[in-house]
Amino acid sequence: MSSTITAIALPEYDDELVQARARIERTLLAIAAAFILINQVALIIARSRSWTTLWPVAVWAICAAVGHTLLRQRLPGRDPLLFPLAMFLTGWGLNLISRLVPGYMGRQTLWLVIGLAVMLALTFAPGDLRWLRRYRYTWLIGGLALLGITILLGQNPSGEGPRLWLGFRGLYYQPSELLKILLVAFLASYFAEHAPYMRAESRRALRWSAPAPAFLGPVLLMWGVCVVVLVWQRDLGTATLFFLVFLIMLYLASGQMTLLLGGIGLLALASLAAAQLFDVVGLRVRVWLDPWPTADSDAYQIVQSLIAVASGGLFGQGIGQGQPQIVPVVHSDFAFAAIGEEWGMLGMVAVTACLALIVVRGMRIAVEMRAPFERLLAAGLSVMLAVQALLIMAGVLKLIPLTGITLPFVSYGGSSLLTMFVMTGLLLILSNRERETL
Amino acid sequence: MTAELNRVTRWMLFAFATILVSIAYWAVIEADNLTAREDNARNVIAEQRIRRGTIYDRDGEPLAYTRVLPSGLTERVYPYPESAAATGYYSFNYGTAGIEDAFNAVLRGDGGSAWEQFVNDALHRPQEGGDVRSTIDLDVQQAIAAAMGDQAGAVVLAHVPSGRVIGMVSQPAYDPNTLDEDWARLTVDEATSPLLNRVTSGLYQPGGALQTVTLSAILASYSNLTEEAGFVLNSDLPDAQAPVRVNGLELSCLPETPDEPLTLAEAYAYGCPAPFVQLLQERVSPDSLWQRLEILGLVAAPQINGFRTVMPPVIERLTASTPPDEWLEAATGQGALTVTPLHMLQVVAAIANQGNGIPLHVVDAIRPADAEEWQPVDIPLRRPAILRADVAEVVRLTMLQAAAQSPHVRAAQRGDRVLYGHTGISYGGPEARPYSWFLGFVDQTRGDEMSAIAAVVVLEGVADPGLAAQIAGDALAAAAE
Repeated sequence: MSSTITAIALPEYDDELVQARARIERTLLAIAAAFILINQVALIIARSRSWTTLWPVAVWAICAAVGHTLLRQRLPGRDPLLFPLAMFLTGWGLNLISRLVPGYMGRQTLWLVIGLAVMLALTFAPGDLRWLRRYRYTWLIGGLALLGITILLGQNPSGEGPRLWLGFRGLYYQPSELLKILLVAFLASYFAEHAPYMRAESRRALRWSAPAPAFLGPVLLMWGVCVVVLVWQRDLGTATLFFLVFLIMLYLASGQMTLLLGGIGLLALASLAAAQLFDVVGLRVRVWLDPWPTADSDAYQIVQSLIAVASGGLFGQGIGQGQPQIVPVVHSDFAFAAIGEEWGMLGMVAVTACLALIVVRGMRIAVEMRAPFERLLAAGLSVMLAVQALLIMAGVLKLIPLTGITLPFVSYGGSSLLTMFVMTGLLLILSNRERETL
Repeated sequence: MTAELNRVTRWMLFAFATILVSIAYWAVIEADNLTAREDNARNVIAEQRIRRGTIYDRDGEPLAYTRVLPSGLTERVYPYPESAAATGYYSFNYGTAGIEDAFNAVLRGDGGSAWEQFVNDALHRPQEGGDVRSTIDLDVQQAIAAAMGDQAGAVVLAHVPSGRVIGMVSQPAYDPNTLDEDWARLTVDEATSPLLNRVTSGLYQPGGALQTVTLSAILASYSNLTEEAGFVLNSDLPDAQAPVRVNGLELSCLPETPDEPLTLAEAYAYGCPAPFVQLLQERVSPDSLWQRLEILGLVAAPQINGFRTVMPPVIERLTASTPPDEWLEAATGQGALTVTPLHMLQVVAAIANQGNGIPLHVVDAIRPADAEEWQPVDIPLRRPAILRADVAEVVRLTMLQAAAQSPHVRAAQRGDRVLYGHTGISYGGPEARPYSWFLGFVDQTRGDEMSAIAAVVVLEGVADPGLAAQIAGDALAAAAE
């Protein structure tokens, strides 16, 4: 498309283009709906379930229709792939939860409705997202305060394990999920303001350059926050996720590889120290290095996860026909392995491709944006989603030590789903602003 | 910043591509190794979903079948637990025995083509096993079980010359329906060993039951038996009732032996050991006796088609240099030689079958899961001569005489059927525990086609061979019907 379109104000935006985007979104949603419906019907037949268990698909379809209609009105220039991809993965997740933990089905569907409602509500906020940029310290302090409260009053719905949740009348929320968005927004805002100085005041030595020491402060501060998360909550996954996202955003803003490599070095040091100091972390590292001798005890989960993937083969066992429930906590940490067993390599490739596509679309939005804040925000959200997906997928496949984080959109977990929809919503708002591409 | 954004995007895509490679590694390259692991519970579940075929008796009555539970898992049902010695058991935890073991591959449905396997896997069809038709007659089986009561021991019946095993009971027995629950109890008591199939694997001292073998060895020492048999069998023998001392035991004739001089045929009928010891010493070298044991298959594992049997302990060969006391033990069946009822059944069947061995088998047909017709099981056609025909004939007549003279053998007589038989007692173990034997057959020949039903009974802890004959009589009567 020509760049002249960019200059046209929203009401006059090329109607044909808007229609084309809506058509693509509609078609993709229809394909997703067919996939989810077929899978749910197959599940009902395979497990002799009641036909009334089709209701989550109906709720999903209503969400998709309402979402599509409202987005069409509110964000006519949005990216046409993001919403269908998010809905597709969420629907697939509903199939999976319905298959693995039918008792959690209602709660996850409720979180879908909440997530979609929040996402759509965001579209009514001012489209320039100035509210997010201007009050960055308020957001960050609020987020850190929530984290502090979690450290002090956190619970675990299952009664044991890391206490990462705040509970209220049976409904649990994981503040670190909200912190993901607040962190990205804060960093986007902070770096957008400081990026020109960081680039200008960098020190060069041979081929390498580094920013002035004044800018290293935030790096060390952030590292400190992550170490606190790690030490207090033994949550290696979230700490790694935060720190990696921070490093990549720092790199995007400063353009300096030295910071990125140095940061990764710090992360490695912290991980090594944690492996020595904390049993939980050390155990995960040992299990990752050589799971086979302890396949019946410490490494049971990862070995069973790999067996599940292997059992799926190329095309999978079919929904409801495998035995993924053998893997403990399969519905949250090992959803990817369950997909491997029942949808095979083909299913895993599809999920990976969808997530990669969301990331690529997000990065593309970032490239197309003009303002540094919006660029960094779009890139940060995409990187957050990418790193989260990669950490859990690589963990399940024994590429890296396992971290207990969820597979975006797919795993059971309301806080995570809500966060993902908010991130999708922000990317949609940003894509509506760039209005350039189809 | 655009260059950095593009670079980060490339890193991300590279990372996602690495994930794809890793997926392919585990789901394809390493798949076989991982799925074959012992800790893959899917294999256990798949095994429990296999629909094993049915084991039928000769008249089509199911002796073992598979019931599918609502969960899709299966359980094995044995409607007639008294057939356990033949059917054996199938237990997920403890494996298989009997026909369940011998025809495991057929019953499981193993060995389908790769294409069938692929289609079944793709459609998640549980593996369907084939059916097995046994030669067991449920009525005979039940008659034997009823006749045995709680008595420990073994009974086996076979048709001659076809070799079809019609009934086999081993006691103490077990209920294969509750094997898993009872396993600890069944395996803890070595003395009773309910899981030991005494028919195929129970090793007993032959004792007096060996007289049929020693008689055939003595008779075989005569080159012109047709002419000499009458003299050999019917001449009065001095000291026929003299006791024989073996290894601290005093062996003598069975109770109710008349107090008068006896012939060899009468000594056989009354189970008197002395004439046999004497004639063996005079006419049969230790090497010849050993060869006789070998030819009759008594020092090898008994043969029953497809069934797992037990190899008797290897014993020292009898030769000219064998010490006299060991030779005496061997001649009276109180030495190192131990036999299963199946061994002795082959001997009796050869006597009934003009000296020819019979192809003992307990299954005669199988029916794969997708077939409608029964397919016969390969049974060896060769029936080797294990006794000279004239020797077999003379032993047969001697057994007929024994059935007429011996009150013990006569206990097996039912109606007017022609009965051939012999009884004996053996003593086993350090406490010289008595075992009562019956070996015999009833003639069923009609027209030119020779037919008989052979039976072997051994009872543990019983010094009354009449009881063994009585049980044999009930079993033979049920079989002859």
